[in-house]
Amino acid sequence: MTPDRRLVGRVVAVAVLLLTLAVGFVSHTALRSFETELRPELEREATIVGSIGARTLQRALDLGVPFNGLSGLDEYLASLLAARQGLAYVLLTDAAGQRIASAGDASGDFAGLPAGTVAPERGALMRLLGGSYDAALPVLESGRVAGWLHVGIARARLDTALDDMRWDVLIVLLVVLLATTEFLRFVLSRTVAAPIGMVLRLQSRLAGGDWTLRAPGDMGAEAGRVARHLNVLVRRMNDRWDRLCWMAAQSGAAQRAGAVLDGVRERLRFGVAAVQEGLGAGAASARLPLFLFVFAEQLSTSFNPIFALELAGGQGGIMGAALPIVAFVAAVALFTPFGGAVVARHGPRNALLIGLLPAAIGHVGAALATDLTTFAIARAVCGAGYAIVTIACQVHLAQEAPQGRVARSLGGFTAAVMTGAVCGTAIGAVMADRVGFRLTFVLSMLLVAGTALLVWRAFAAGGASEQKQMGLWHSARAAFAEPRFALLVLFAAIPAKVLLGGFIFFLAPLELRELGLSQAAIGRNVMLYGLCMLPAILVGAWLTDRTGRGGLVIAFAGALNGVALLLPMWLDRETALPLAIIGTGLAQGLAAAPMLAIIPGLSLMRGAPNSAAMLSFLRLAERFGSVIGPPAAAALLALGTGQETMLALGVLSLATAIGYALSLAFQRLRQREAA
Amino acid sequence: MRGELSFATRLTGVLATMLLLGCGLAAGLNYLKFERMLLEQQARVLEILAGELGSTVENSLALGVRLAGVPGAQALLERSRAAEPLIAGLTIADADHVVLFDTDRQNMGGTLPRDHLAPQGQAESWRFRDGPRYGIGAPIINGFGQPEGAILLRYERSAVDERLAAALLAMMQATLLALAIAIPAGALGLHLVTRHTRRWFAAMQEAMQPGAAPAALAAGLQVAIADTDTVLTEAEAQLEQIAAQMPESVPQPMEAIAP
Repeated sequence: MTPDRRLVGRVVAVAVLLLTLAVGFVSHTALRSFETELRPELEREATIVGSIGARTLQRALDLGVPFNGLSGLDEYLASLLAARQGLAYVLLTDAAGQRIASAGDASGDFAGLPAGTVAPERGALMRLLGGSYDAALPVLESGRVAGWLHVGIARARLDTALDDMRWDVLIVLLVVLLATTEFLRFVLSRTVAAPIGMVLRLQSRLAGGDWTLRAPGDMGAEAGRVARHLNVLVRRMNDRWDRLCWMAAQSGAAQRAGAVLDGVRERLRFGVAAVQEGLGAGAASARLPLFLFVFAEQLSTSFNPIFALELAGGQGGIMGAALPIVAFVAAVALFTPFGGAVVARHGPRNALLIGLLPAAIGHVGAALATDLTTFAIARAVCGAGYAIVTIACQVHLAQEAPQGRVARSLGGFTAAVMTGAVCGTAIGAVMADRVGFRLTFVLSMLLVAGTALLVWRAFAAGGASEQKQMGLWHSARAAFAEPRFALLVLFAAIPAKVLLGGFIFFLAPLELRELGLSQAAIGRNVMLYGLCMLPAILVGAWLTDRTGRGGLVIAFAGALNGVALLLPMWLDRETALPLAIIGTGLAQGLAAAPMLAIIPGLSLMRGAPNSAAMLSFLRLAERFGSVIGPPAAAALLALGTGQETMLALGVLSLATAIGYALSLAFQRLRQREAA
Repeated sequence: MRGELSFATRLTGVLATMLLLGCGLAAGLNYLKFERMLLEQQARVLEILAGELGSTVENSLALGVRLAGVPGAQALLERSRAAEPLIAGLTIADADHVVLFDTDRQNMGGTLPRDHLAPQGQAESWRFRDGPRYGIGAPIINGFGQPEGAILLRYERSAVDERLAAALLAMMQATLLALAIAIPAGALGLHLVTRHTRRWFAAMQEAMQPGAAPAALAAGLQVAIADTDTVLTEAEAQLEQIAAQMPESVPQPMEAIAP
């Protein structure tokens, strides 16, 4: 009987419940105290504006103008209202609370103060009326209250801030929940799942009569105790075997005793194996460092072009805004082959540590950058680290994955990358909003350092490959000679990444800022991409497995992306932009798994290189798309508007998707004719 | 020391850390937002006051008086400062940055630092920092639209800090309360959901002891042990029987038949 397979789900459920309740409670208290403390400040603003207006009216009354004879009141109140932002209304009532003149939008709930209301000695009478804080200041005639000047400050400003903070709390909660899940999976994998798997494997070998095994002695927790007991048990059985051998030697009947021992040897094997049974926790152990690394990297996603614009000196540097993104992606593309060589030479653990170094240096450089060039160089250094780290993690996952589960293991890679991207993008925007761009880069560096510590502690050394490198140019020619691969790259992989880099990473943050959104709100919108992509990856994989029509799924995803980017033709920008981000996330997620799934089949074609080589060329092509995406979008933006840039990108996606669908149909037709 | 903590304890540690991080982030980020909002709100209020003072001075200029000769300007500044406790100091300077009136009279006649003033010709109010103090500047424009000088209002953030301290205290209390309840509850919850797995580990350990009672959770392992035990016991019995019989020949050295 195996232990409970639903342990991860139950542990995560406990964590989700408690985190939601605890963070919700703290945030509720924070928001309540925020409202309590900010309200007097809003009331003070209303009082000061009111006192300025009341003083002018009072001066007129003091000069002998009767209250009923005041003229030009509507114009005066309108000028008072126009001079200050955030005022809901300014109105004058008589002593009985009847409206004399007004400006602005006083709600239907407004009711003047009743006759006989005593004027305050100082300041104003404060009330909460509908959606406004109302400050009422007396206007005196011959020492008696002749009227009241009411100034209303709309609660909208406070409500907007509270809504913003609620969103931020949700982001924090989402990030903490996803990060907690990753940490719990990591701990459970190392202390429960992997040791249980190992014990079951050892048990199976014992049942097969193999008593030569040994469990690793460096495990902790309950698994360590089980491992020690197992080693004692094996030692005990080996001692019994040694005793049998001694008895046989002492028996004086070598032939008969030897036959008895041979009978035992036929069923059982004894001795101490030179190679211990491994824990096999590596695949899962790579997920957490990868998650943390991508998290750190993506902290700056929502503000990279904005920071670049700041460094470039405003709108004049619109092309420059794309430079850091281009530098990063170009470095990733250039260093991908180099990353593979580093992993092959030093093994995944050391390659990870090597890759984390430039990443950390790049983040420090970005934090200290004083001009666009320095910033772009720093981002390129980050890109070099990113290339090495992601390749190292991929190789590690593939090496450690149990036989027959490589695809699922690599699926874990995509999931860790996307989870890290979602968390990093979202919380990075909130952090940047609160502590600024530079400190957010410092936080990225600290996270990278933490990742290095984790890799150093949790990863086993080794894994260097002795495999001879194949000819790169020969493999490339062979891969692109296969028309289906070439079409996949040209009509699907490159356009998808052009849209990703051009729209999500470059255009969307700038356009959202144009709409007047805060940095945190920009991050939330950009985060929608990752949030939608996560489930779409699963749906795309399921559809591909179910129907076997991965190509059609890719073409559909391209068309969907195109339509999403054409939405500004029919909807206003406030609605179209988030919907386009959602559509892009769904489309890119849908196409992710089918693109990978097509490769093994193509690699079986005559003359095609192996699956790994084709996969690396696909990745290289994608990165080429990511490199040209931001400058292409920047060039379009420089020539026209953001809306027109979106439309151009949408047309590109639609055209390539239709082209890919037609090429699939043509291939199918040729296959039928050939059959 | 490695291996001393049970996996449930480690999970509780992770959960406690993430609870601390989650509550800390929620409180910390809200605090920072709150601080910015309060400072902004305070600045808005004081901007109104600075603008109003500027308008009062401009009204005097409209009567044909030079800025340096505005009657009652010094008294106006002192009265305004006394009326509003947030104000730390008020200054009126001419277009050459020379201080004409100041609530701190010893500053009069001095020159203002350039970074306290807005670029020439700015019609809107501006903000500046004066060491630990914050400041708001408003231009003074004469009837011909020409800049005559500026009024500078300096204030401290002590009022904001008081409100922030109150909010921080409330958030700290809530965080401590949440952690005080959630961490033990988490430990209990994790203890409950992991009990089956802990039983499995315990059963495996128990099953490997000599003479262990049968346990359903470790049945597979016990069968393997029992099978091996049976084979070895039978072989032992056979060898003891052989040893009890007449030797075939001279006993051979042990190495000859050792595995």
